[in-house]
Amino acid sequence: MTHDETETLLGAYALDATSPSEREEVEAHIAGCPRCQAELAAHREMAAMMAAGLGGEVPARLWEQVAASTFSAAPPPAPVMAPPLLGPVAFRPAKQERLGLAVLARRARALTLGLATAAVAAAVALASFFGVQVNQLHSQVHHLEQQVGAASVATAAAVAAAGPHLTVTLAAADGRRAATVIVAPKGLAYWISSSLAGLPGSQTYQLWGLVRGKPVSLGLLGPQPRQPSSFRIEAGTSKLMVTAEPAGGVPLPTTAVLAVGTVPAGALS
Amino acid sequence: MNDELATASDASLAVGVARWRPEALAEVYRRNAGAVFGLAKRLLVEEALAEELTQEVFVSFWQRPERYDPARGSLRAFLLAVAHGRAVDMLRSETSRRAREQRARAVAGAGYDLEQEVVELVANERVREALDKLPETERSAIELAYFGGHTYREVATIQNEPEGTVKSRIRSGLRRMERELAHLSEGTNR
Repeated sequence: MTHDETETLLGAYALDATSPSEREEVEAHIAGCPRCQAELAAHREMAAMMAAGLGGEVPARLWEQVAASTFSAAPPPAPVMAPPLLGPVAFRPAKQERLGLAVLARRARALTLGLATAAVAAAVALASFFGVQVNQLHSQVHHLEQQVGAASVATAAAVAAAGPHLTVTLAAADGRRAATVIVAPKGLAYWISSSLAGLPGSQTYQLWGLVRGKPVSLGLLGPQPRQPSSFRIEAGTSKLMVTAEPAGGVPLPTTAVLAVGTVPAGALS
Repeated sequence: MNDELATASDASLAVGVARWRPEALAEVYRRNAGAVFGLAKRLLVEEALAEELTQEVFVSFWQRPERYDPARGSLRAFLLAVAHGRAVDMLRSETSRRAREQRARAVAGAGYDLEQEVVELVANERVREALDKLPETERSAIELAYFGGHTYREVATIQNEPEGTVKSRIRSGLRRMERELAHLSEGTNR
């Protein structure tokens, strides 16, 4: 199809009003024609503006369905996300069976853009969080609600994310994102994604809240904290932190903080 | 609230989705689900089908965010183009042929009030004005194609005009509206 022939079809093409064979021919031409690409883009924006007014009430369950078929099936980030500063802890690559290799490779490419090599040994500095004197050691150690099913937690988290919420990003010592937590009103929080590397079975990740300067256990994340889980944080929590601890958990952190995120002041009032 | 996300650009939201950030998809959904669902419902009529299509649009964006190229337009235009294309495929599929024939007969018959519906639906005043300013034949060709899901050949049958004429009308109408809106936005910017 010549440029002129294609041009006359651009309006109809932008509105999906051509036959399938015309569509193919237009696409073949457009691929190499910046002028037609620009005109098509303008037509599509115009069409979108016409459709913008159609926005009506969207059933709430629709987002739940989207969330259920996306987040629960979301794989962990590709293995280019090197383990954060785990010291002597062995690194086990995450399971990836849910995604095709091509997709993983694509994601990996996208991810590497923003990632520098981990090198900073700032865990030492972060560990000073725990230099505080702690008198009350009766922190509750319990498992997070993983057993109710990752998918339902993911759905709940997605619903929370669609309403008023805060997103707390836990960063590793080198500044890279290690995990994302969504905090809904009233302190219900969801651990929704993580790039923390797998731990040996003898260890577990443990999540802590820093409440008025004292670490309070929020629960155990297990050695592979990929699945969404939910927990509660109390008013006055200023930080969320993760450490690697012996399986079964500990009442107070015994190792360096691997990731930390700030809960904005007043967020939980 | 998450101010960072609420003001994030289309490109950075797409990057967020590429990094599996659920909150980025939630924001994309918050901004665009209304229009996508509205367009799907307008085209497919049946609410359950429109829901299915809307879900499909966002799930496929989660799975293949790299299909969106920020250099080629807004994320909304992209998502709506995906939704429109898919809706039209569903309408034109073999299984809905019968319904389609009935629809075409209804359209060709008396009392087709698509135009009135569109006037009510196109909420944005500036867009509606631009649409209103079009020559009648251009406007109804665009409406029949975009909101009615008809091919330009079908529009030609409905309007009883040559196919080539309808093809040009759709394009010239769109271009006229684009110029009109560009002109309007220049006016308001001054």
